[in-house]
Amino acid sequence: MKQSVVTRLAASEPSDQLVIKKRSRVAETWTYVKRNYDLYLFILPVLVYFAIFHYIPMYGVQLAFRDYNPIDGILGSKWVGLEYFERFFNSAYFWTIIKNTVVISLYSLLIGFPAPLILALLLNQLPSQKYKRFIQTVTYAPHFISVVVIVGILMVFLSPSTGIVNTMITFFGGEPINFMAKPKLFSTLYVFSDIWQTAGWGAIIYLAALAAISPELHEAAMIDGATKLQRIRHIDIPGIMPTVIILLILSLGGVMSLGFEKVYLMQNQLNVSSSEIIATYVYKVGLQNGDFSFSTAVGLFNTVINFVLLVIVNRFAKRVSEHSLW
Amino acid sequence: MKFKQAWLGNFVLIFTLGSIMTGCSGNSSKEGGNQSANEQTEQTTDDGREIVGNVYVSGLPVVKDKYEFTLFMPGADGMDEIDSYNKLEEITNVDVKWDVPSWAEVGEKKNLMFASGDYPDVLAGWLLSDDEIMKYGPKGVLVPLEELIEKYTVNIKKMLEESPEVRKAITTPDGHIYTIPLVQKQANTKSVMHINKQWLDKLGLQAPKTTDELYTVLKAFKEKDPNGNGKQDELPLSFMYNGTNNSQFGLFGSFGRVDSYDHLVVENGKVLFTAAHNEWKDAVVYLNKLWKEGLIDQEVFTHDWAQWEAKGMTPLYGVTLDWDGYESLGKEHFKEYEMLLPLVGPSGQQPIWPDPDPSIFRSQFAITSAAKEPAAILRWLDQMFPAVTAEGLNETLYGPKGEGWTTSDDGKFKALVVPTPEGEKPKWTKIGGFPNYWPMMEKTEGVYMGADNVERENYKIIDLEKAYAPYVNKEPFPPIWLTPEQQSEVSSIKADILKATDENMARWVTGEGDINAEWDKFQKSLEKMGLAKLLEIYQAAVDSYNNQ
Repeated sequence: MKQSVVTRLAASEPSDQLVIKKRSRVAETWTYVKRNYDLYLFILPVLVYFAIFHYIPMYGVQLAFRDYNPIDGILGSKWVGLEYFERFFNSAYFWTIIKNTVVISLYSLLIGFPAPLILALLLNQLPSQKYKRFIQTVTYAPHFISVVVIVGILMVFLSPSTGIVNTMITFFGGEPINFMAKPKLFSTLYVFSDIWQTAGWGAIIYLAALAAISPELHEAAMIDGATKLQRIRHIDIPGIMPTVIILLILSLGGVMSLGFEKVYLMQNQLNVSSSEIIATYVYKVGLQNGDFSFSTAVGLFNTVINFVLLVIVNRFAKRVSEHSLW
Repeated sequence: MKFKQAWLGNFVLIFTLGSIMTGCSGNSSKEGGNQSANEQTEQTTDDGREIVGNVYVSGLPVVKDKYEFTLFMPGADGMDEIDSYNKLEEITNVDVKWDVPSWAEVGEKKNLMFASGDYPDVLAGWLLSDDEIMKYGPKGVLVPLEELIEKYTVNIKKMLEESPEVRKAITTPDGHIYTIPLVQKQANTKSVMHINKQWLDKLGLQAPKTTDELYTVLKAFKEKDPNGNGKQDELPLSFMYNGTNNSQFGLFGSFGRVDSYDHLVVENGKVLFTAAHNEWKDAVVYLNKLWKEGLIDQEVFTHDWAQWEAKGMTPLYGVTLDWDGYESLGKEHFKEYEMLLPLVGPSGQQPIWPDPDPSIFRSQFAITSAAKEPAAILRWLDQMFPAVTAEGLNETLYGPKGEGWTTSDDGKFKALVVPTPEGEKPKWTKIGGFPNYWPMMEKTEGVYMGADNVERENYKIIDLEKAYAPYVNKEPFPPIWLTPEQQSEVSSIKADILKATDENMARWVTGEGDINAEWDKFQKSLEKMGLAKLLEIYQAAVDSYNNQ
């Protein structure tokens, strides 16, 4: 009798322990949270923000699969499945829009991504701190000008009759060029005005990374007789590589999503053949023509592509280097 | 960071589209509101007038307790400062809360309003398109008005009785009337051509009569410096691409067929797509020829209204297309111009000029389900039909008799010329585009643009009308209705086709593409986008309208 009780006890012992262990882990976490409640309070606004402005609105995505009619509301509108996606894929504009979006994004990635990096490396080498700070301020100041104004400046400068650029061209005996009307020039104007506006600002993050590199490395290299270029190549660039990779992944993930405002503002009847991108198309179809379902379908398609790209690039980055987003 | 934002921005773009629409359920309750108002029993008040709820069936004021409603329409702000409306408020005891966005933003605002279900009591001005009336009327967003008109109105009812064609035009296929139309005799043209007389005289040239002569004249304008400032800054020909009243459509008429905003025209009862025919191609080839020689304003596809106007006021235009010339050239410079008649094309045939807006414009005024007292609103509007209200209400809109208006010999209302001093608001005025009812085919001075614009108006309505009359297209597009199913099919085809046509035309005129080389490919792509289907749907609608 006694024996059996003991055995029973012994038999049940492991599972009891497990329960206790589990309970204690929950309790442990809870006490941990309670102890650091202030930190959790700090993160709460961000969580709430994302929930309210990024997750709850996601229910509107179903518009892409419904024949949306404002009177019936989102939930009352008829399901149509993939009809709007089919319409987009069969649209005569599908390939033009995709091509324009990809060309402009890749172009700005190819030229626009290295620009702040190079600027930061150059600035980092300036011996005079005063001069460096001056250049930095001058280059990042345009970041604070609104896009509307930037495009306005662009148009004034490039105007075929009164613009300063064309005045100079005609002064040297050339024919004035109507820059904004040339479809072929659109992406170049877009990318280079973007670099002008954002390179200085983008360089700040690299400068911060460069400042974190131990000066001892540079001193040692200098004693060994390394030139400036060699130090940039072997110390600076490897030092900020993690930052570069993270930013590259993020920007590759956004390859299909160009800023809407600037392209829309720069667009006109003459360059629209190379300036119609997904975002402007969504705006025109959705808000101007009131075809909300179709427009949502196009936007959703774009987002899905971006998401897939982001995941692929991240995988790739993880495999070839140790740095990745997650 | 920038890249991440762009990525998030993309989410935000479609999700805001989603969230815009989150407030849409709960509309049905609004309809219940006016139902109960209608069901209230009739009573007779002390002064012997019938009253339903708060609204008197006849006489003034319109309501017993002050009633307030919101009115959304395109135009310029400052309606509250105009005496006429304050006076009307006093008389009727109905107060209007004006929401008057500019023309540029009104379309987008309207779409968002419908999408969110949060609309004002009244949509007025040239705001609702036919397909929106069909889309929102039967769904209960717009209040059916036929019974209210019958019971509560005097002037509107009279208008419908006097002209049965008005009733026919505004009655939708489901038998209801959702909108009070704008009915007035329109000028017989929209944009017309004006040529710089001073430049012609200076260069010793005659006004051109054919497209070839126009080419010669424009070339002289370009090269011989007619404004004498030593620079080649003259813009021989300018227009607003696809502009409302300044479009290039009339120029196409010299080549056999006028163009229109959606490139659809009716010829002998058959619906045609202009850009699928050689007449259209010939016109584009001609425009390209002008462009190559620098005879067309190089900003014609890119300038906005302000830029277009600034160039016109300088004045830099040799030949311009405009409603009456005043609009883009200004009152002073306009005197330097003269009207230019449609030009004979290479075929030698009589040119055609685009027909104007219809005399019955369907959507002047619509009441939505948000309105608590549609009857009061309708009675308020009824007070504003000046032509038929003989009891002195003209005074609200035109001031005391003798100051802003008078009666002509046959006892009809006649507006007088009252110029507004520079920088001041007109003392009496009508809202742009509404309310207007003028018995059709009768012309009375000053009714279109208000008392301070009679001079312009007479020029447009009398001189221009007479000169252009022989050329105006005899077969306007009939006022058809499309069913919602037809409409949704049409709008998706149309979106692609119009985009393709307008983009290509801009490319071909400017020489970015070669129309001769690309023409066949373009026709094939139109077919692929569903042109045949589009024409079939419109043909069916036009046939059923003509057979009515």
